[in-house]
Amino acid sequence: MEGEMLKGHLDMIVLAALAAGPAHGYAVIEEIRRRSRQAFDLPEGTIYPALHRLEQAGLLSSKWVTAESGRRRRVYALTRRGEEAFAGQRVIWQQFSDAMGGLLAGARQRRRPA
Amino acid sequence: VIPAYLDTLSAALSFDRALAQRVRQEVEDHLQQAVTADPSGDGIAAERRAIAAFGEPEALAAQFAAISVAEQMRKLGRALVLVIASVFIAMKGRVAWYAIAGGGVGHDQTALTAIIGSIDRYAFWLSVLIGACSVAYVISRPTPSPADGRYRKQLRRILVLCLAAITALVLSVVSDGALTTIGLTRADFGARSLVPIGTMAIEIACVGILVFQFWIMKRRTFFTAALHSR
Repeated sequence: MEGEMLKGHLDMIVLAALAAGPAHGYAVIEEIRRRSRQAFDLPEGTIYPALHRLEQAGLLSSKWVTAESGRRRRVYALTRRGEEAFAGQRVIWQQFSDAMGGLLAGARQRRRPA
Repeated sequence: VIPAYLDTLSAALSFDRALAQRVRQEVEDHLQQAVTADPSGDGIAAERRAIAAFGEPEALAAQFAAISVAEQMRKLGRALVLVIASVFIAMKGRVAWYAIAGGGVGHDQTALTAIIGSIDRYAFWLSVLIGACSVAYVISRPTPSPADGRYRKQLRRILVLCLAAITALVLSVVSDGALTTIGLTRADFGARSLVPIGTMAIEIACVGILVFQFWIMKRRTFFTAALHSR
Protein backbone atom coordinates (compact mmCIF):
# COMPACT_ATOMS: atom_id res chain seq x y z
CA MET A 1 0.00 0.00 0.00
CA GLU A 2 1.30 3.50 -0.89
CA GLY A 3 2.92 5.20 2.13
CA GLU A 4 1.43 8.62 1.36
CA MET A 5 -2.06 7.13 1.03
CA LEU A 6 -1.69 5.50 4.44
CA LYS A 7 -0.36 8.67 6.06
CA GLY A 8 -3.46 10.54 4.89
CA HIS A 9 -5.62 8.09 6.84
CA LEU A 10 -3.26 7.45 9.73
CA ASP A 11 -5.53 8.93 12.40
CA MET A 12 -8.44 6.72 11.37
CA ILE A 13 -6.18 3.67 11.17
CA VAL A 14 -4.93 4.28 14.73
CA LEU A 15 -8.46 4.89 16.04
CA ALA A 16 -9.62 1.67 14.38
CA ALA A 17 -6.78 -0.30 15.97
CA LEU A 18 -7.64 1.09 19.40
CA ALA A 19 -11.38 0.50 18.94
CA ALA A 20 -10.71 -3.12 19.94
CA GLY A 21 -9.43 -1.98 23.34
CA PRO A 22 -6.58 -0.13 25.10
CA ALA A 23 -3.09 -0.90 23.81
CA HIS A 24 0.49 0.40 23.84
CA GLY A 25 2.25 1.65 20.70
CA TYR A 26 3.89 -1.65 19.74
CA ALA A 27 0.59 -3.53 20.12
CA VAL A 28 -1.20 -0.88 18.02
CA ILE A 29 1.26 -1.48 15.17
CA GLU A 30 0.87 -5.25 15.48
CA GLU A 31 -2.92 -4.87 15.46
CA ILE A 32 -2.81 -2.70 12.33
CA ARG A 33 -0.62 -5.26 10.54
CA ARG A 34 -2.76 -8.20 11.64
CA ARG A 35 -6.13 -6.69 10.77
CA SER A 36 -4.93 -5.31 7.43
CA ARG A 37 -3.39 -8.72 6.63
CA GLN A 38 0.09 -7.11 6.47
CA ALA A 39 -1.10 -4.64 3.79
CA PHE A 40 -0.55 -1.64 6.08
CA ASP A 41 3.14 -1.82 6.87
CA LEU A 42 3.83 1.71 8.13
CA PRO A 43 7.22 2.95 9.35
CA GLU A 44 6.77 2.08 13.03
CA GLY A 45 7.90 5.46 14.33
CA THR A 46 5.06 7.31 12.60
CA ILE A 47 2.49 5.76 14.95
CA TYR A 48 3.80 7.55 18.04
CA PRO A 49 3.40 11.16 16.84
CA ALA A 50 -0.11 10.16 15.70
CA LEU A 51 -0.89 8.76 19.16
CA HIS A 52 0.37 11.97 20.82
CA ARG A 53 -1.56 14.16 18.36
CA LEU A 54 -4.80 12.23 18.90
CA GLU A 55 -4.33 12.42 22.67
CA GLN A 56 -3.78 16.17 22.42
CA ALA A 57 -7.02 16.42 20.40
CA GLY A 58 -8.86 14.64 23.23
CA LEU A 59 -9.63 11.54 21.15
CA LEU A 60 -7.32 9.29 23.20
CA SER A 61 -6.30 9.07 26.82
CA SER A 62 -3.12 7.43 28.06
CA LYS A 63 -1.46 6.23 31.23
CA TRP A 64 1.79 4.56 32.27
CA VAL A 65 1.63 0.94 33.34
CA THR A 66 4.44 -1.39 34.38
CA ALA A 67 4.90 -4.37 32.06
CA GLU A 68 5.87 -7.86 33.20
CA SER A 69 9.40 -7.08 32.05
CA GLY A 70 9.46 -4.23 34.59
CA ARG A 71 9.61 -1.57 31.86
CA ARG A 72 7.19 1.34 31.95
CA ARG A 73 4.74 1.27 29.08
CA ARG A 74 2.31 3.94 27.87
CA VAL A 75 -1.13 2.49 27.21
CA TYR A 76 -3.61 4.38 25.02
CA ALA A 77 -7.40 4.11 24.96
CA LEU A 78 -10.19 5.76 23.02
CA THR A 79 -12.05 8.47 24.90
CA ARG A 80 -15.76 9.00 24.41
CA ARG A 81 -14.96 11.77 21.92
CA GLY A 82 -12.58 9.38 20.18
CA GLU A 83 -15.28 6.73 19.89
CA GLU A 84 -17.67 9.29 18.41
CA ALA A 85 -15.03 10.60 16.00
CA PHE A 86 -14.20 7.05 14.89
CA ALA A 87 -17.89 6.20 14.36
CA GLY A 88 -18.29 9.35 12.25
CA GLN A 89 -15.18 8.64 10.18
CA ARG A 90 -16.29 5.05 9.69
CA VAL A 91 -19.62 6.16 8.16
CA ILE A 92 -17.89 8.65 5.85
CA TRP A 93 -15.32 6.04 4.82
CA GLN A 94 -18.04 3.45 4.12
CA GLN A 95 -19.91 5.93 1.90
CA PHE A 96 -16.69 6.79 0.08
CA SER A 97 -15.76 3.12 -0.30
CA ASP A 98 -19.22 2.21 -1.69
CA ALA A 99 -19.14 5.13 -4.12
CA MET A 100 -15.60 4.31 -5.26
CA GLY A 101 -16.49 0.61 -5.56
CA GLY A 102 -19.44 1.47 -7.80
CA LEU A 103 -17.32 3.78 -9.90
CA LEU A 104 -14.57 1.21 -10.40
CA ALA A 105 -17.07 -1.58 -11.12
CA GLY A 106 -18.64 0.63 -13.83
CA ALA A 107 -15.22 1.27 -15.33
CA ARG A 108 -14.53 -2.48 -15.55
CA GLN A 109 -17.78 -3.15 -17.40
CA ARG A 110 -17.16 -0.53 -20.07
CA ARG A 111 -16.30 -1.95 -23.47
CA ARG A 112 -13.69 -0.51 -25.73
CA PRO A 113 -15.08 0.97 -28.96
CA ALA A 114 -14.38 -1.21 -32.00
CA VAL B 1 22.83 0.68 19.37
CA ILE B 2 19.45 1.48 20.95
CA PRO B 3 20.85 3.88 23.63
CA ALA B 4 22.68 5.88 20.92
CA TYR B 5 19.46 6.12 18.90
CA LEU B 6 17.51 7.22 21.99
CA ASP B 7 20.18 9.82 22.84
CA THR B 8 19.90 11.35 19.35
CA LEU B 9 16.10 11.44 19.62
CA SER B 10 16.16 12.96 23.13
CA ALA B 11 18.76 15.55 22.12
CA ALA B 12 16.61 16.65 19.18
CA LEU B 13 13.67 17.13 21.58
CA SER B 14 15.71 18.76 24.37
CA PHE B 15 13.69 22.00 24.06
CA ASP B 16 10.74 20.15 25.69
CA ARG B 17 12.15 18.00 28.50
CA ALA B 18 8.86 16.38 29.52
CA LEU B 19 8.14 15.35 25.93
CA ALA B 20 11.74 14.16 25.38
CA GLN B 21 11.57 11.94 28.46
CA ARG B 22 8.16 10.48 27.59
CA VAL B 23 9.13 9.82 23.96
CA ARG B 24 12.40 8.21 25.07
CA GLN B 25 10.62 5.80 27.41
CA GLU B 26 7.97 4.91 24.86
CA VAL B 27 10.43 4.38 22.03
CA GLU B 28 12.81 2.41 24.23
CA ASP B 29 9.98 0.09 25.25
CA HIS B 30 8.95 -0.32 21.60
CA LEU B 31 12.47 -1.10 20.39
CA GLN B 32 13.07 -3.58 23.21
CA GLN B 33 9.83 -5.38 22.32
CA ALA B 34 10.86 -5.46 18.65
CA VAL B 35 14.25 -6.96 19.61
CA THR B 36 12.58 -9.57 21.82
CA ALA B 37 10.20 -10.50 18.99
CA ASP B 38 13.02 -10.77 16.44
CA PRO B 39 13.39 -14.43 15.45
CA SER B 40 17.11 -14.22 14.56
CA GLY B 41 18.36 -14.18 18.15
CA ASP B 42 21.28 -11.97 17.07
CA GLY B 43 21.05 -9.06 19.54
CA ILE B 44 22.93 -6.33 17.68
CA ALA B 45 21.46 -7.22 14.27
CA ALA B 46 17.98 -7.31 15.83
CA GLU B 47 18.54 -3.87 17.39
CA ARG B 48 19.65 -2.49 14.02
CA ARG B 49 16.58 -3.95 12.31
CA ALA B 50 14.28 -2.54 14.98
CA ILE B 51 15.81 0.92 14.55
CA ALA B 52 15.64 0.74 10.75
CA ALA B 53 11.95 -0.19 10.95
CA PHE B 54 11.32 2.66 13.37
CA GLY B 55 12.69 5.48 11.21
CA GLU B 56 15.16 8.35 11.32
CA PRO B 57 15.33 10.01 14.77
CA GLU B 58 15.46 13.54 13.32
CA ALA B 59 12.37 12.96 11.15
CA LEU B 60 10.53 11.55 14.14
CA ALA B 61 11.67 14.42 16.37
CA ALA B 62 10.38 16.91 13.77
CA GLN B 63 6.90 15.36 13.98
CA PHE B 64 6.91 15.45 17.78
CA ALA B 65 8.22 19.03 17.77
CA ALA B 66 5.24 20.16 15.69
CA ILE B 67 2.90 18.57 18.26
CA SER B 68 4.80 20.31 21.05
CA VAL B 69 4.39 23.69 19.29
CA ALA B 70 0.66 23.10 18.81
CA GLU B 71 0.29 22.29 22.50
CA GLN B 72 2.23 25.39 23.53
CA MET B 73 0.13 27.49 21.16
CA ARG B 74 -3.02 26.40 22.98
CA LYS B 75 -1.36 27.03 26.37
CA LEU B 76 -0.33 30.52 25.27
CA GLY B 77 -3.89 31.25 24.06
CA ARG B 78 -5.34 30.13 27.40
CA ALA B 79 -2.71 32.11 29.33
CA LEU B 80 -3.48 35.22 27.26
CA VAL B 81 -7.20 35.06 28.10
CA LEU B 82 -6.63 34.29 31.79
CA VAL B 83 -3.95 36.97 32.25
CA ILE B 84 -5.99 39.71 30.55
CA ALA B 85 -8.99 38.76 32.74
CA SER B 86 -6.82 38.71 35.89
CA VAL B 87 -5.25 42.09 35.13
CA PHE B 88 -8.72 43.52 34.52
CA ILE B 89 -10.01 42.16 37.86
CA ALA B 90 -6.92 43.44 39.70
CA MET B 91 -7.34 46.92 38.14
CA LYS B 92 -11.03 47.09 38.98
CA GLY B 93 -10.35 45.76 42.50
CA ARG B 94 -7.82 48.52 43.10
CA VAL B 95 -10.18 51.22 41.79
CA ALA B 96 -12.96 49.85 44.03
CA TRP B 97 -10.59 49.94 47.00
CA TYR B 98 -9.67 53.57 46.27
CA ALA B 99 -13.42 54.38 46.20
CA ILE B 100 -13.90 52.79 49.63
CA ALA B 101 -10.67 53.69 51.41
CA GLY B 102 -9.60 56.76 49.49
CA GLY B 103 -6.22 57.31 47.84
CA GLY B 104 -5.02 56.86 44.28
CA VAL B 105 -4.83 59.70 41.79
CA GLY B 106 -8.54 59.87 40.89
CA HIS B 107 -9.36 63.05 42.83
CA ASP B 108 -6.08 64.82 42.28
CA GLN B 109 -5.30 64.49 38.59
CA THR B 110 -2.40 66.32 36.98
CA ALA B 111 -1.59 66.49 33.27
CA LEU B 112 0.96 63.70 33.75
CA THR B 113 -1.41 61.30 35.53
CA ALA B 114 -4.13 62.05 32.94
CA ILE B 115 -1.73 61.08 30.11
CA ILE B 116 -0.58 57.94 31.93
CA GLY B 117 -4.23 57.06 32.65
CA SER B 118 -5.10 57.38 28.95
CA ILE B 119 -2.13 55.22 27.93
CA ASP B 120 -3.20 52.65 30.52
CA ARG B 121 -6.80 52.49 29.24
CA TYR B 122 -6.02 52.44 25.53
CA ALA B 123 -3.16 49.95 25.91
CA PHE B 124 -5.35 47.61 27.95
CA TRP B 125 -8.28 47.63 25.51
CA LEU B 126 -5.84 47.27 22.61
CA SER B 127 -4.43 44.15 24.30
CA VAL B 128 -8.00 42.81 24.71
CA LEU B 129 -8.74 43.44 21.03
CA ILE B 130 -5.49 41.88 19.72
CA GLY B 131 -5.71 39.04 22.26
CA ALA B 132 -9.24 38.21 21.06
CA CYS B 133 -8.01 38.28 17.44
CA SER B 134 -5.09 35.94 18.33
CA VAL B 135 -7.36 33.44 20.07
CA ALA B 136 -9.96 33.61 17.26
CA TYR B 137 -7.18 33.03 14.71
CA VAL B 138 -5.86 29.97 16.59
CA ILE B 139 -9.36 28.48 17.04
CA SER B 140 -10.66 29.20 13.53
CA ARG B 141 -7.75 27.67 11.63
CA PRO B 142 -6.70 24.06 11.97
CA THR B 143 -2.95 23.78 12.35
CA PRO B 144 -1.57 22.65 8.99
CA SER B 145 1.00 19.90 8.76
CA PRO B 146 4.60 21.13 9.28
CA ALA B 147 5.33 19.83 5.79
CA ASP B 148 2.74 22.30 4.45
CA GLY B 149 4.12 25.67 3.26
CA ARG B 150 1.37 27.51 5.19
CA TYR B 151 2.61 26.15 8.51
CA ARG B 152 5.43 28.65 9.09
CA LYS B 153 3.37 31.56 7.79
CA GLN B 154 0.54 30.71 10.18
CA LEU B 155 2.90 30.28 13.12
CA ARG B 156 4.57 33.64 12.37
CA ARG B 157 1.17 35.39 12.29
CA ILE B 158 0.18 33.87 15.63
CA LEU B 159 3.51 34.88 17.20
CA VAL B 160 3.21 38.47 15.89
CA LEU B 161 -0.39 38.78 17.16
CA CYS B 162 0.51 37.37 20.60
CA LEU B 163 3.58 39.62 20.84
CA ALA B 164 1.46 42.69 19.99
CA ALA B 165 -1.15 41.76 22.62
CA ILE B 166 1.54 41.12 25.26
CA THR B 167 3.35 44.39 24.46
CA ALA B 168 0.11 46.37 24.85
CA LEU B 169 -0.64 44.58 28.13
CA VAL B 170 2.87 45.24 29.46
CA LEU B 171 2.44 48.93 28.59
CA SER B 172 -0.89 48.96 30.44
CA VAL B 173 0.59 47.30 33.53
CA VAL B 174 3.61 49.67 33.51
CA SER B 175 1.19 52.63 33.34
CA ASP B 176 -0.82 51.09 36.16
CA GLY B 177 2.37 50.73 38.17
CA ALA B 178 3.28 54.38 37.56
CA LEU B 179 -0.19 55.58 38.63
CA THR B 180 -0.16 53.33 41.72
CA THR B 181 3.31 54.59 42.69
CA ILE B 182 2.22 58.24 42.28
CA GLY B 183 -0.91 57.51 44.36
CA LEU B 184 1.13 55.84 47.11
CA THR B 185 3.66 58.70 47.31
CA ARG B 186 0.79 61.10 47.95
CA ALA B 187 -0.67 59.02 50.80
CA ASP B 188 0.76 57.63 53.99
CA PHE B 189 2.11 54.12 53.71
CA GLY B 190 0.15 51.82 55.93
CA ALA B 191 -2.38 49.04 55.90
CA ARG B 192 -4.37 50.94 53.26
CA SER B 193 -1.45 50.56 50.81
CA LEU B 194 -1.55 46.78 50.95
CA VAL B 195 -4.40 46.41 48.46
CA PRO B 196 -2.84 48.65 45.74
CA ILE B 197 0.57 46.99 46.23
CA GLY B 198 -0.97 43.51 46.27
CA THR B 199 -3.04 44.04 43.12
CA MET B 200 -0.01 45.52 41.33
CA ALA B 201 2.04 42.46 42.36
CA ILE B 202 -0.70 40.23 40.89
CA GLU B 203 -0.66 42.18 37.62
CA ILE B 204 3.14 41.98 37.34
CA ALA B 205 3.17 38.24 38.16
CA CYS B 206 0.43 37.55 35.57
CA VAL B 207 2.29 39.44 32.85
CA GLY B 208 5.49 37.63 33.86
CA ILE B 209 3.76 34.26 33.37
CA LEU B 210 2.49 35.37 29.96
CA VAL B 211 5.93 36.56 28.82
CA PHE B 212 7.40 33.23 29.98
CA GLN B 213 4.78 31.26 28.02
CA PHE B 214 5.53 33.37 24.95
CA TRP B 215 9.26 32.70 25.35
CA ILE B 216 8.61 28.92 25.50
CA MET B 217 6.48 29.20 22.35
CA LYS B 218 9.19 31.16 20.53
CA ARG B 219 11.85 28.65 21.59
CA ARG B 220 9.81 25.62 20.46
CA THR B 221 8.99 27.31 17.17
CA PHE B 222 12.68 27.97 16.57
CA PHE B 223 13.71 24.36 17.27
CA THR B 224 10.83 22.96 15.21
CA ALA B 225 11.81 25.13 12.25
CA ALA B 226 15.42 23.95 12.61
CA LEU B 227 14.33 20.28 12.67
CA HIS B 228 12.12 20.71 9.60
CA SER B 229 14.81 22.49 7.61
CA ARG B 230 17.23 19.54 8.03
